[in-house]
Amino acid sequence: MAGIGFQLRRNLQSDSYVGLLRAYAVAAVVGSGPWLISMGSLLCIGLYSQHVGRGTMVVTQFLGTVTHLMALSLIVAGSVQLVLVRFVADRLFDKRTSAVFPNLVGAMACVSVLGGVIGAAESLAFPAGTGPVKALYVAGFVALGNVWLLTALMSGLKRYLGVLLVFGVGYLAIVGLAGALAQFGLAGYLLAFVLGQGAMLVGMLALVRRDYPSARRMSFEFLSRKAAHYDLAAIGVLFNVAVWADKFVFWSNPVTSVELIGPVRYSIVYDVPIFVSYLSVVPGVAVFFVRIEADFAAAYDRYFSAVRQGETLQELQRLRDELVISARAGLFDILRVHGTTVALLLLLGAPLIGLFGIPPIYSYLFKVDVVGVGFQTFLLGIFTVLFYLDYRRLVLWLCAVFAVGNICLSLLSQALGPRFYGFGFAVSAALTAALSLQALSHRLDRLEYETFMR
Amino acid sequence: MSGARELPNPTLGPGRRADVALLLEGTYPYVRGGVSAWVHQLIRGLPELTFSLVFIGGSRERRGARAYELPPNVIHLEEHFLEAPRPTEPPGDLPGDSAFFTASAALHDGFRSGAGTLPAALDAVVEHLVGNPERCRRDFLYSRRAWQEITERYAAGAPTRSFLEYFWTVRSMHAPLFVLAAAAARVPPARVLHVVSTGFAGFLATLLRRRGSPLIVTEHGIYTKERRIELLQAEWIFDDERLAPDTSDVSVGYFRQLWIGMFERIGRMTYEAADSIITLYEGNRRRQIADGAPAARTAVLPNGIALDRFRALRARRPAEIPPVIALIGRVVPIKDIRTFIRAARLVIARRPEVEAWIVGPEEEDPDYAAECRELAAAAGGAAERIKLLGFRRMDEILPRIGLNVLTSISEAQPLVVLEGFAAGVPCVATDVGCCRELIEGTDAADRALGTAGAIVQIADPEATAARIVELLADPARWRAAQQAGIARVERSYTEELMLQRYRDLYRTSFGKVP
Amino acid sequence: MAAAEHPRPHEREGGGDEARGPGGRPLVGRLALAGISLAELALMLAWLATPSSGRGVAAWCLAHALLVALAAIAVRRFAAGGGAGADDRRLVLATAAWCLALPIFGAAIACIVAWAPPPAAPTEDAGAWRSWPLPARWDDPGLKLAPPARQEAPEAVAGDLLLVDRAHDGRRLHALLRAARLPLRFQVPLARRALADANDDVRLYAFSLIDRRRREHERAVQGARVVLDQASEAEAGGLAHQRLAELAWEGVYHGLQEGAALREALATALEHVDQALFLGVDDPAAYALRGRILLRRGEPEAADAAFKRALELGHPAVKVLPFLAESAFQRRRYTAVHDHLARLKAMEDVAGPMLGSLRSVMEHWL
Repeated sequence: MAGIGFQLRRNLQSDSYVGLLRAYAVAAVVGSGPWLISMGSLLCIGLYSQHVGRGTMVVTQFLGTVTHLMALSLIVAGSVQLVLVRFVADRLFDKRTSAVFPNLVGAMACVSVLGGVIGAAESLAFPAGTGPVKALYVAGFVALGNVWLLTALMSGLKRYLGVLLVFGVGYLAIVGLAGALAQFGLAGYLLAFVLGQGAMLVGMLALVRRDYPSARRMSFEFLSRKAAHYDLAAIGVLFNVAVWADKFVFWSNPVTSVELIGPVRYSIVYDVPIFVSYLSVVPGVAVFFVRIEADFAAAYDRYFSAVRQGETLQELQRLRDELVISARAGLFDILRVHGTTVALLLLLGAPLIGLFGIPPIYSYLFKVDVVGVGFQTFLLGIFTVLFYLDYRRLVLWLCAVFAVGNICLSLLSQALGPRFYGFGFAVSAALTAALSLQALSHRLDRLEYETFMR
Repeated sequence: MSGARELPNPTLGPGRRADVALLLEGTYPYVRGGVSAWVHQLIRGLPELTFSLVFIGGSRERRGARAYELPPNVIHLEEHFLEAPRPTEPPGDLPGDSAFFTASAALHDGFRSGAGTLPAALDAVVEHLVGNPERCRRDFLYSRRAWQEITERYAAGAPTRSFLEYFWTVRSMHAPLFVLAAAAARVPPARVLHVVSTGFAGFLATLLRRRGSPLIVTEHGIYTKERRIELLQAEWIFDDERLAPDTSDVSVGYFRQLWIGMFERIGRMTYEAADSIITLYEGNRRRQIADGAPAARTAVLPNGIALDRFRALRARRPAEIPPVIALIGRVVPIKDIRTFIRAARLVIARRPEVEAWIVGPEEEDPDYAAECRELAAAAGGAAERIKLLGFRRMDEILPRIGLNVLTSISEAQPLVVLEGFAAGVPCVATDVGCCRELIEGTDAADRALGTAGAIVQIADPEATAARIVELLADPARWRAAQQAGIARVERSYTEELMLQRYRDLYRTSFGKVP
Repeated sequence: MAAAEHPRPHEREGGGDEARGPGGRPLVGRLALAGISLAELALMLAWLATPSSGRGVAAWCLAHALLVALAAIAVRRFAAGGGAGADDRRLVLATAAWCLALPIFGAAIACIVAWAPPPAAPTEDAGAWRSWPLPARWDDPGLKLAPPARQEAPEAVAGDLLLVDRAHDGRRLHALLRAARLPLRFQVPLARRALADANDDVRLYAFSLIDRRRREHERAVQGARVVLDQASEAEAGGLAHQRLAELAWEGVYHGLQEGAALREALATALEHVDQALFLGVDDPAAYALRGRILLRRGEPEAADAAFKRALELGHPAVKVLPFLAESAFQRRRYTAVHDHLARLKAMEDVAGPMLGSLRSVMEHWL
C-alpha cells in the first residue's frame, strides 16, 4: 500500500481544480477519519438509545466512562507511542524491517501491563460499579491503550487507509453490538465497546504482522539506552496531559461536574461543547496533511538528500529556502482554513448547537472552544515540523509549557467564573502556539548551521 | 591484547622537571621499530639526563603493550590519543570567539601566500590554543563564527564542490589538533623539547615551544612524505570529480589535496618553531629544506651502533666466506622480500651451495609472510635452501652469513647494514635512503675507504642476483668490501659518536635558556 | 616508519536478527487459543446475565484465572520457538498478562504473536516509508559516494612517465596517479617501470600501487579457491576451475607476474582450464581462454586447435580471428595471417569499434 503522501502529491500535480479539491478531501478523510468515526459512533449510540428510550442515565455513564478511559489510556500509551514509532523509523532507515513487529509486541506488552495495573487500581479504589463493569473497565483501558499504540504506529508507517478501515469496521461493530447488549445495562455497553476495540486491535496487529513479518516474537530493544530517545516518552505523556488537562480540571471540580460512576465524572457545562468543537478540526487537519505531511515532507527530503549527496552550498541554501517557505505556508494555511471554519461556525452558531442538545447559554463556550481547538491543530503542525527536524528537546519544553499553562489557566478560568470557561484551554493553546512559532522560525533561519554544526 | 602486566606510568611530581621531553608519535615505547629502538638507545646511552616521554597514538584500544622496558632515567610517561571522543550534546547558543578565528584566518592566509607572515600569525593562534584549548575546540565545533569562516572559505576556494565533504574534511582535519592543544596544557615542563618526527607530534611541539624551552626535531623518515604517499592511495577520501573537472595539471583530488596540504603545513610549522632540525643523511636534509626548513638550522647526525658487541662477532667468523645470503628485517612488503626470494632462486640456480635466509618477525603482516612462504616453496629444487627463520638474534646470525642483502623499496638509514659492517659482513642493497652513502661513502674521504658491497636497482632480481654472485665468487673483492665496511662504520657510525653529538646538542640547548 | 594511526572512519555496526523458523504446532495452538477466547466471551456473557453477587464475582475470577492458565500452557506447549528459553518465557508471561487484563482478546493477541511466519524475501516498497534521516556524522563510512571514473589515455600517461629529468619528478608522480585509473593491463607495467625511478616518492607510490593490485588479485584467487573446495558436483567444480583459470590468466595478462612466476602462472592457468574442460564445461569462452594461454606459452598449433573448437561452439569470430592471426604469425604462415585479417576486415561493419588497436596491424598486412 503506497504511502498516502504520494497519492496526495500526485493529485496536486494535476493542475485541475478538481484534482486539488480531491487531494484535500482525501486528506480530510484520512486525517480526521479515526477521530470522526470514534466520535460519530459514540454520538450515534447516545442518540439511538435516547430514541429507543432505554435510560439516558446508563448511556451517559457509558459515554462518560469511555471518555475517561480514552483520556487515561492516551496518556499511558503516549509514554510508549512516540518512542516506538521513532525506533521503528530508525530501523526502517537501517533497512532492518524485521525489528518492527517484535518491538511492537514488546511495546504492547508494556502498555498492557501499565494500563492493566492503573485500570485495576482505579476500579478497585472506587466501590461503585458491579463486578463485570470493573472487569470490563480494566479490559477497556488495556484495549484502548493498545489501539492508540497501533494507530500511532500504523500512521507512522503511513498506512492511513488501513487505520481508517479498521476504525470503520470496529466502531460499526460497537454500535451494532451496543444495540444488542443494551439489555445488560452499563456492563453490556462496555462489553460492546471492549469487543469492538479488541477486534480493531487484533485487526491492526494482523495488518502490521502481514506487512512486516519477522521471525522473532517479542523484543524490548526499543527501550534500550542505545536505541531509545527517552525525551519522546516524556513528550508523549506531556502532550496528552496538556490536551486533556482542562477537561480533568473541570471534571475534578465538584462545582462544575457530577459523578457518574466511580472515578468517571462528567461536566455538563464543559464536556459537550468541547467535544463537539473538535469536529471543526476536520478542514484544518486536511490542510495539515496536504501541506505538512506531503509538501513539507517532500521539501525536507529534497534538502537532506542534497546534503547527503554532497551538493554545493548554494544549492543547499536554495533548497533550504524552499523548505522554509513550504513550512511557513503550510502552517499559516492551517490557521487560515481553520479561521474560515470558525467564521462559518460563528455565523451558523445557534442552530448547530441546538442539534447537539447543548443549552444555548453555552454556545459562547462552544465558540471559544472552536478557536482553542484551531490553535491546537496549528500546534500539531508545528510539532510535526519540529519532529522532522528532530528538535525533540524543544518539543518537550513546549509540551510542558502547554500542560502547565492549560492546568493553571483552566483553574484560573474556574475561579473567574462561567464567562471565562474555555479560555483556559484556548489561551494556553494560543500561547504555546506563539512560542512554538517563534522557536521554529529562529531555527529555520539558521537551518544549515543547525544541520551541520549541531 | 597482551599477556604482559600493565605497568604503571612513571609520573613527575609537581615542581619537578625533566631535562628532555621526548614527543613520540606512534613509536616508543609501544611500537617496535627502528625509531623506537633508536629512542631506547638514546635514553639508555645518556643516563645522566632525565627524560619525560609524551606518546601520541591513534586510539587507546589499538595502543598495544609496551614493547620496551623503560630505563630508570625515564621519569615521566603520558599518553594522548588523537581519536576524538564522540561529540556530546552541543551547548546552547554559541557566537564564538572572534579573536581566535581572526588569528586562525590570518594563519591560513599566511600559508597560502608564503612564509613571510608565518611566525606572527602562528604565535597568535598558538596563544589562543594553549591558553584555552577547550573553548577553542567548542567554538570550532559549534559556534556561529566557525560556521561563518567555513562557509566563507568554501565560497572562496571550492564553491562548486560537495559542501558536505568539505565541511567534514575540515572538521576531521582539525579535530586532532584540538586534542593536541588540550594535551599541551597538561604536558609537564622540560629543559629541552625533542620531537622525533613532524606530523602531529611536531604540532604538539610547536604548541609547547611557547613555554620557552628550545626545540630539537630529529627526523628519521620524512613524515610529511610518508603521509603524502599514504593519503594518495587512501580509499576513504572522496574524489569529487563530477562537480568540477580538474583544471590544472594536478591529478590529485581536491579533498585529497586538502589533507596532504594539512600535513605539509603542520610540517612547516614544526620546522619554523624548531631551533635544530636533525636528520640522518644528506638526502633527507635536502628534502627538509625543500619542505620549508630553514637551511641554517638543519644538520645531519647519522645513527650509530654499539660497535663492541658487533666487533666481537668478527672473531666468531669462519675462515672462508659462508655461502649464505641473508635478508635481516621484518617480513613486510616495504622490504620487498619477494624480490629477495626471486633473486635467491637465481643465485641458487647458479651456485647451488648457497642458502638464503630471511630473518625477521612475521607477525606484522601474516598475509605477506604467507605469500613469501608460498613463493619460496614454489621454487622447486631451491625451495629447501630458502628459509624463513623468524626472529633471531643478530649474534646468532651475523657470524654465519656471507652477505647482508637489503631489497627494500624505501629505507632511511638501515641499522642492519651498519651492524653487518661492524660484524664483518658486506652488503648488497637497493639504492634507497642512504644505502648508497653507506656502501659507497659520502664525502671524498669517506669514499676513499672503499666500497662495502654493491648497490642495485629496486625490484630487480636479476641484477641483485648478479651482484651477489659476483661478490661471493670473488674472495678478494669480498674481503676488500668487508674491510671498507668495517672502516666506514668505525669512522662515522658508532653509537658513542652519536651519543656524544646528541649530548653536545642538548648541552648547547640547555645553555640557551637560563 | 613513524606514523601515527590517522583517525579512521568507525566501522558501522551491522544489524542482524537471528532468524528462527516457525516452530511448534500452529494449528493446534491457534485452535486452542481461539477456543479459550470463545470461552472467555461466553463466560463474560454469562456473568452479565446473572444478577450481581459476591459469589458471582468469585466464580468469574476463578474461571477467568483458569482460562488464563490454560492459555499460558497452550502457548508454552504449542509455540516452541526452538530458540533461547528466555524468549519463550517472556512470551508465556506476556500471554498470561494479556489474557488476564483483556479477557477475550488477550488470547487473540497471543495467537497472532506466538506463531510468526518467517520473513519472505525483502521487497522494496519505495513509497511506503519516509524516515527522519539526519546527516551522517563525520566518521560514517556510509557517507561516501563513488564518483564515475575519468577516462585516461594510456599513451599520455606513459609519455609523462618517460620524462626522466629530475625537474619532472612531480609530473611523473601525477602520471602515476592517473595510471591508477587505467585498465589494469596498462597500469601494472607502467607502475613497474616506475619502481626504478630516481625519485623516492614515485617509487613508493608505484610500489604500493602494484602491491595493492597484487593483493586484490590474490584475494580473488583465494576466494575462487574456496569456491572450488566447496564445490561438490562436477558442474560446479568445472565452473570453479574455469574461474581460477581466468584469474590466473588475468594475472599474466595484467603483468602481475614476472619471470619464473609468470611461467608458473601460465602453467596453472592451463591446468585449471583443462580441468574445467574435463569436468564438462562446454563454454566456448573456456576454449578461447585455453587458446590464449597456449599462444602465450608459445604453442601455436595447440592454440589453433583450441580456437577452432571455440569457433565451432559459437564464440564470436571477431574475438578469435586476431589470435588466429597471431598464431599463424608465430608459425610464420604469413598467407594465413593475411587471410585471417582479411576475414576480420570483412566484418568491420559489424565489429568496427572492437578493432581498435588492430587497425594499424591490418593496414600493414592488407
